[in-house]
Amino acid sequence: MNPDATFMRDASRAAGDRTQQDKIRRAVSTYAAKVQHMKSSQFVKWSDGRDAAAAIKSFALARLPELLEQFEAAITARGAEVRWAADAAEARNYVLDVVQRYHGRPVVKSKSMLTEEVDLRGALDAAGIPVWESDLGEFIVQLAGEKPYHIVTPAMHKTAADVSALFQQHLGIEPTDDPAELTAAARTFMRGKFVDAAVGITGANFILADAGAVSVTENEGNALLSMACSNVHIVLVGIEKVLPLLTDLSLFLPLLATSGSGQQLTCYNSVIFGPRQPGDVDGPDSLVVILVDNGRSTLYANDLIREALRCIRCGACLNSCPVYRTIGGHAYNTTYQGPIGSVITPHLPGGKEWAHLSSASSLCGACTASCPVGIDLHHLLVVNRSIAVSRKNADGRVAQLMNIWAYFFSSRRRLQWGRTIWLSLERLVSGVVFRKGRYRPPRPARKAFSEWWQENDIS
Amino acid sequence: MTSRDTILTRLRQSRPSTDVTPPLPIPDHTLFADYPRTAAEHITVFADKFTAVGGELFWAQSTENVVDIVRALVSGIAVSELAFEPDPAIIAVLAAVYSYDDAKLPPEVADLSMCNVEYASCRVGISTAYRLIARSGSIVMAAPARHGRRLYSVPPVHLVLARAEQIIPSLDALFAEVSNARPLPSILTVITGSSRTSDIEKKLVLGAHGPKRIVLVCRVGEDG
Repeated sequence: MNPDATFMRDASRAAGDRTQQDKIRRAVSTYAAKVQHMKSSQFVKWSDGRDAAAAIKSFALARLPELLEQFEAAITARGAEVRWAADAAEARNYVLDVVQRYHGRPVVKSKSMLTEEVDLRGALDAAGIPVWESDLGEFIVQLAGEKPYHIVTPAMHKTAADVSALFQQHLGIEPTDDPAELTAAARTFMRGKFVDAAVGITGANFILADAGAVSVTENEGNALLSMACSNVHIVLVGIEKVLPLLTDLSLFLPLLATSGSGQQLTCYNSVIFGPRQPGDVDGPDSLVVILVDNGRSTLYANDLIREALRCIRCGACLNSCPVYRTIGGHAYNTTYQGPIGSVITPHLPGGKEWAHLSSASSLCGACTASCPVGIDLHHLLVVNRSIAVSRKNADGRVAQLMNIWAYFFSSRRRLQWGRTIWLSLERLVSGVVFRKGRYRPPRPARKAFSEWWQENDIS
Repeated sequence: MTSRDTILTRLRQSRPSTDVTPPLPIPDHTLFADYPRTAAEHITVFADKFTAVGGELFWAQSTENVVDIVRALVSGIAVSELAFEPDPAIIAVLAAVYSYDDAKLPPEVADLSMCNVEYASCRVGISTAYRLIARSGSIVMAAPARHGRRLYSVPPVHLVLARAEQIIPSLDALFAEVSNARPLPSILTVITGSSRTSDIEKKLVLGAHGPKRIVLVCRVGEDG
């Protein structure tokens, strides 16, 4: 089945799943209240923060190649290794190359959408290297053998009872539905992995060009533990994540925390300037930063879509999207779900199959309104639709119908004439053309507006 | 051609045709409504925010005060179960708490270069702080202090000894200062509250992977 048909099947199924929607509604309403409060209590004007962030990101994109070189030079000077990966395979190979030097010892991995994008865990599993997702939500999803449901809250679709069942099966815990006890069980289990791990893998929320630094944001302390206890710290980061100045973080950290989870600041914001330095008592002996392209330079080359690279992956557009809230994260079947996923996925490698996602939107604009870096998401969805049509990827039947529509609507006389035909044939045509779908075109009014106007003599 | 060259060449060839001028920096005090204005406000805002994110705050007026507070916090915990930064003030406090007359390190104390397994059995990590941030109630950890990374991530309790003069209003002051620092630390961590997760049914649980409790003993007043 092609991705389009799979999407229609899964989305239809999810749209009728009330239990799932209740879970999403609960999660999103908790989130929405916190975000609203944090925006209004913290910012003089939220939109000022958003505009400032958008301006910094636009500037960073305009100078992207120079900033990446500046970052590389600065962090290399303090002993980090920087690798450039053109695609997912190259990124995976760099990681395997480092990890295999410590064969047999586990790898602990923090939450990072980029590692999902390049299927890093798949590659490590295939090479027989034990790898543990250390973020609680990712850990749950890993045990369940699933993909993240949401870019910020990966296990949003799991109840405490679901998690309990998983932990009973995999960790051998006693039955409990208490989130605190479940969290404690994961903490205890994962401690052993942190202590043994040779390699800690994290993503990065930002990289800073002037200082040559990597910024990692998290709440649980798992990323911090992995970069405190391991011999090697590997960072996978998309080339679009660069900010010009270290001082830009004073805006971006509160912005990300507010939009991502309604916090003023996320619990741990670590800025890594290099591996262990002379005088340090611990920390990894080596730091490897892998700068990943994997389709980003293609997106970058498109003047109309480029601004999507401003994204800081806060998840606000998913939470505000009526489509996401109805069909959930898994129906998309992509690494990045929701509006931002629908915008960027068609431009990533293998993306031509995913043009249909841009039509899975009512273009209501809630995503654009929620975006903390001012990405015009719903207009970018329209741009994607237009690209899809020009690639002739569009549904041929729709194109034919639009041609017929244009024929009648481009002349007043033909419109009148067409209405008469439509009124007489409507039942027959609907029955044949729309037989299989659930969609039925609306029945035309018995009387045209112009006729009604004339009869009632309104003037 | 290496991937580095390929990527950079592609970006250079397709960059936006119109150049963008660098945006003017917006200082935190014009952007944030909760920016503390006066030195007195630094202290009150810090106290409010730090406790709001789950931090436990103790004010101490004197060294004796600090010793009393720390003694209560570590009661029942042996000195060998502590990981602490070898800072003279911390050593002095611990010597008083554990009754070592000459303020010398007791022989059985943990060495911060111990292996991960030993570190995992430490019950409290004690350190100084680099700065305290009022607007977010955060504690900033950074070299050159010799506490390392594990001290504030591995033990279940992180106890911080700091002074009220270390409070700065907001993140912009921190990053401006660090930008000019040489040498740069290997890591800087802004800690805002104790480790937490809401991954199961959006219910907040403290102590996910990092410290369950973050305790600050903050010196106020003139002496010391």
